Amino acid sequence: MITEFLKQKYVDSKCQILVFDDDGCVTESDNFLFKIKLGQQLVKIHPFFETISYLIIDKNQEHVFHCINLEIGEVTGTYNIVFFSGSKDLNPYLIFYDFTDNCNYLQTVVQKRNESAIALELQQLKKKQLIKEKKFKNKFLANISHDLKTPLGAVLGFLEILEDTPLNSNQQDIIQTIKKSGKHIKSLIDDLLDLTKIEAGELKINYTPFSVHELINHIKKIYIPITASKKLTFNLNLKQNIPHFLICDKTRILQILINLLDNAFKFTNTGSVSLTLESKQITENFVELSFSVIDTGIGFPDDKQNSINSFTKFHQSDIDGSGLGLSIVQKLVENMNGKLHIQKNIPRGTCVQISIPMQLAIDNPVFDNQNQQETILTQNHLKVLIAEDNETNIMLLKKILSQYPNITITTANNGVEVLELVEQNAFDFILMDIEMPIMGGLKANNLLKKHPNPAIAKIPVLAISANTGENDIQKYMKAGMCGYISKPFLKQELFNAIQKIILIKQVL
Amino acid sequence: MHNSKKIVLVGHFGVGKSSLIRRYVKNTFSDDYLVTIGVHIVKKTVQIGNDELTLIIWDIEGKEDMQKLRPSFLLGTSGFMYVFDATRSSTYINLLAEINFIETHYPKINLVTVANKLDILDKNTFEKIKEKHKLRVDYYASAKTGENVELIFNAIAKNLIK
Repeated sequence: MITEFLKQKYVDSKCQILVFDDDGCVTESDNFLFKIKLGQQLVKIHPFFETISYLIIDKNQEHVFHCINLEIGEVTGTYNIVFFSGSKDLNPYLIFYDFTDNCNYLQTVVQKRNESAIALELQQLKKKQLIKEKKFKNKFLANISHDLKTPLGAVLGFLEILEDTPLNSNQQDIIQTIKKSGKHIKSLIDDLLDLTKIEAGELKINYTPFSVHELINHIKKIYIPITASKKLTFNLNLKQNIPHFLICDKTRILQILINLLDNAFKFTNTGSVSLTLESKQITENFVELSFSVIDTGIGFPDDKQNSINSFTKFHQSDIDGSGLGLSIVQKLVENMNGKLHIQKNIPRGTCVQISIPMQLAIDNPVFDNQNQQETILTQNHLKVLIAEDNETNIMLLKKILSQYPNITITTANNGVEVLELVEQNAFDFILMDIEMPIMGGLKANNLLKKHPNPAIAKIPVLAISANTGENDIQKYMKAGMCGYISKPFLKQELFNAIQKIILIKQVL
Repeated sequence: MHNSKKIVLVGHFGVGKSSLIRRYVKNTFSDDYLVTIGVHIVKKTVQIGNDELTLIIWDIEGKEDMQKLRPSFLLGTSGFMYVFDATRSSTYINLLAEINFIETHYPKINLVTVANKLDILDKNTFEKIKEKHKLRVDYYASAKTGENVELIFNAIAKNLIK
């Protein structure tokens, strides 16, 4: 009796049996789950029955349909349904097992699983898209920077030439203003290029020995004149324990300091700017070099300090400037495994602290002797081939080199002309533009290096290009070029590069 | 003449099978994703020329592999609609194999493939994906905007009545 009771309570309540005839009319139903009237046609109860009605033809067949959602009358449920098509002795029937509770539970679990799987996939897709967009942006910026650098080179170059001509003081002032603006554009382009390189992961830190004192002298040369003109005090504090020689990327360290000091001087109108260098021994061979730039200027707005410390791009809201410089500083410091900290809550001005681990240099590095330049350039008769397709650039190079009458200049507009001219003339070196029509500088250089005449194969080639990313420079050097200068270049940079070529040539 | 045919929507979870059906049958759409457990069955009658056809549409829970589907779900099917999400590669990466499976095991059943969610991804971008993966795409649709939904179901119906 008890089993009958329990069966009724726990089994029958979850199950319904429905018998029907060959016309699909219900002949029996226990109606435990939903109410079905006798004589009712199954196909009119739910479309499910319509799709299985044809199965009745093939007798003695049983089919099981799992998890079928049905709405019959006012009852909605999910059922496992057994269908029997009938036999000689038995009418066709349907047995419904109620799995609504199980399916409702399953619904919650599967919903969560599916939602997180979809979210993950879409997140990955978004990430992929962002990388693609970033790549496109970097390429675009690199291209636009290159295109800007070439004409800017001509502007700055001709200004330098114009500066050396007889001018009245008013004209000199105008030139100085144009020059200052041109240099500002150049530094912005350089910043943009640096940032794109950093973001693209192309920035390489060149660890070479350098003199800390020479670095400081360089800083002094730049900022002491500014100190005088702005009537500010510039305090340089070098603590006693600072090693003379360290191994790190001097150019990048200088870039960091220039960016910080430029900002400090720009936003300080009264008082002082201080640069303090400290060193802390980490291991036997490593120290942590700290730079602190403190000014008495307007300081960082409170709401911007967090964005600086969280290494996000800083946009100066109320003050002029692109804000790229500080962003680059952050990235450079990060690339050199260093730390950047902006001290908050100081009463006035800004205090930026940077610490970078550096290896102690065992041997003193060799530095260039720039004093030899004049002698080298004036005491040698030099035959130079300028390979460049841009007329303005040719004119600029000719003007700069014409300062030395002992330099004879020939020009070529493309690589093919270079190869023809080297057969007819004994050049001391070639100033080679990389991007030229018909045949570019790199290909021309490669053919020169393979030339059967050893004298031609040995002609030093100096690359002149606006493409001076790490990969580009590596390409030039691998191709056997003896150096490169980046457009836009200063007169002095060109002379320095030529001087090096001649020195190398004399050694060879 | 009145007739009824069963069509089954198959494809991965979250591709919008239920949304396409809801758009077609009730002309509604919801951005909230609600997973389908088991099968939901609805019907809609369409007029094709002088004929009336009732489409009995089986909305089957998403499965990433056709072979995992219960064979009883496919009994008496006249047409398959394989739906995938144009924004999620996992839903179409094995499309060729899935089509191959259906055409091998159910050679007499009509099959159309539908790229859904074209309201999120523009058609030109998807064209490149289609080329890259050599996808068979019979129709593009958006259950959200309703683009092509009626056209697709009606085209299937037309094909079934022939």
